[in-house]
Amino acid sequence: MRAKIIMSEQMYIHMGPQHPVNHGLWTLKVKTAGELVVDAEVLIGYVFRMIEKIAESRPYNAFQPLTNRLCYVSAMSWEACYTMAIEKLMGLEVSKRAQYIRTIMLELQRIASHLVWISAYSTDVGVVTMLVIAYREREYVLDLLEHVTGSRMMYNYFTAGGLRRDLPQGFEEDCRNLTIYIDERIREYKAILEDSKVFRLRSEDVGILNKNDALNLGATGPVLRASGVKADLRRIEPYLVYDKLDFDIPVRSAGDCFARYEIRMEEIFQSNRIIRQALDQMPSEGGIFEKPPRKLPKGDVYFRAEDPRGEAGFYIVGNEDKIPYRVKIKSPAYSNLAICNYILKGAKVADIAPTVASVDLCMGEIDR
Amino acid sequence: MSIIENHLNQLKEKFGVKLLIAEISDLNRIRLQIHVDDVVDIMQFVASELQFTSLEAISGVDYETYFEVVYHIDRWDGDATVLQVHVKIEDRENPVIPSITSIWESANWHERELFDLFGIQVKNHPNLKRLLLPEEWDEYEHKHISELHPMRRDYKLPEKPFFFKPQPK
Repeated sequence: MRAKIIMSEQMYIHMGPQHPVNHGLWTLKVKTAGELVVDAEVLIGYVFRMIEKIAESRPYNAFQPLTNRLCYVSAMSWEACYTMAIEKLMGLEVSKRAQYIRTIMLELQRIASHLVWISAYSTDVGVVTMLVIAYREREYVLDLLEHVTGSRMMYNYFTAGGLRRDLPQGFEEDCRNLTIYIDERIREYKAILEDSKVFRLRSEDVGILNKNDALNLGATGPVLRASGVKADLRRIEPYLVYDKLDFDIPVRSAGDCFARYEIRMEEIFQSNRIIRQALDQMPSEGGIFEKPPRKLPKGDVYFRAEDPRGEAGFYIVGNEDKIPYRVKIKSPAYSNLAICNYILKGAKVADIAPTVASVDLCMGEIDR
Repeated sequence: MSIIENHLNQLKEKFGVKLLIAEISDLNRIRLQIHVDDVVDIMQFVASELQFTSLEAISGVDYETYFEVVYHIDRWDGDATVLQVHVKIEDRENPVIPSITSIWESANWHERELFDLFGIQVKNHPNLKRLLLPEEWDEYEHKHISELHPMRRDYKLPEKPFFFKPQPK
């Protein structure tokens, strides 16, 4: 009898700021009644560094290395988004060769980021084998990126007007071989994960988000595509050379964690396709850098690009000065984490880990 | 008529003089400037009639004499149009803006951030408290009043390294 009373009592659980579920510093405050989550609240701000304010205190090109620090898993896509926003504000066009190299780099970064996600997610749902397997393949991608940029994680490779250095010798062949190798490995991962009973049980019909809610709550990227919206900025608003390349956008309608997993797996195949096409079409000669103006013109720009996590955006206001007047960072992980306030309600306590992991968090870009 | 012009014409027909600025500013971008009092009406129309289903970001900008709040609204399913809505807040002492959380749930955190970093009060917000800074930030020891809302232009960087010391109640 007494046990019954205790079970029906409501209890608060603080998951965080350091908790295996979190992958970063944040707190999930859940109110539970037995095994059921009644209410959930996300508390953030533990790594708040005021990056937007720092942007207002230094020249636009001196701020660019800091955009790498927004997300340590996909640094390249953040510096690309910032550089392209600055270029759009200036009306600067980079050369064809630089555009192709940028596309290849961004897709390699997308593969690396998704591989980290796979290892983190499958560990959270109980397939601990994948933790090291996916990291092994990611290391090959990082080796290639290091060969080009000189750094494993914080690249600082893009710059307004082009790129800092050209591709090294033999890059094209290495890159082509890597895409073929990763294609094979991803088929292997799919076999490992989709045959695993624990993976399917903890992913299917967990953390369901329907289409209207996904749009209204501001989901982006793989989370939105898993809910049945064909939304990819590489198609909707093509930047770089994506309009010349042929690739598919995976869409699923289930809206659960398994659909998000399928989308990311499919995206790795598509990234490999993009890289191979870009290598074929890339002009072998040509400059890669053009000197940009020192000062930002007066006016504002909102530029958005498809990050591995979703839609990354920069709203930049220029004021005829080399220091930007205002830089607003729109982070996809921020929008996706805010959803957790809503989709965890009514779930089981055991479903919190897969649901939170499936949206792919990175606290650096959420707290900024 | 292209899709983006169609959106703009529908907005102009419905609201007319209430739109202080309404133009196509860039490829796929509509720029609107509206008055603070009309925010909820216009956003309601944009969400329900024009089918702009998703709010992307709310950015505050401090122009020293006034604040500006910029909304970016998107319709994923259809075309690439992004609506960029500027709202000017003249009153610097007591800035207030109505909440649009009832229209788009995603506005919740963006508006809390606006309150946190700019000190703009959001009317009718369901849960208006600080988001990135600590919730009890007002009770901490501050050297300057501008530390309360650090994204304002008058925020001064501290001379010596900062450390936070909560005051006993």
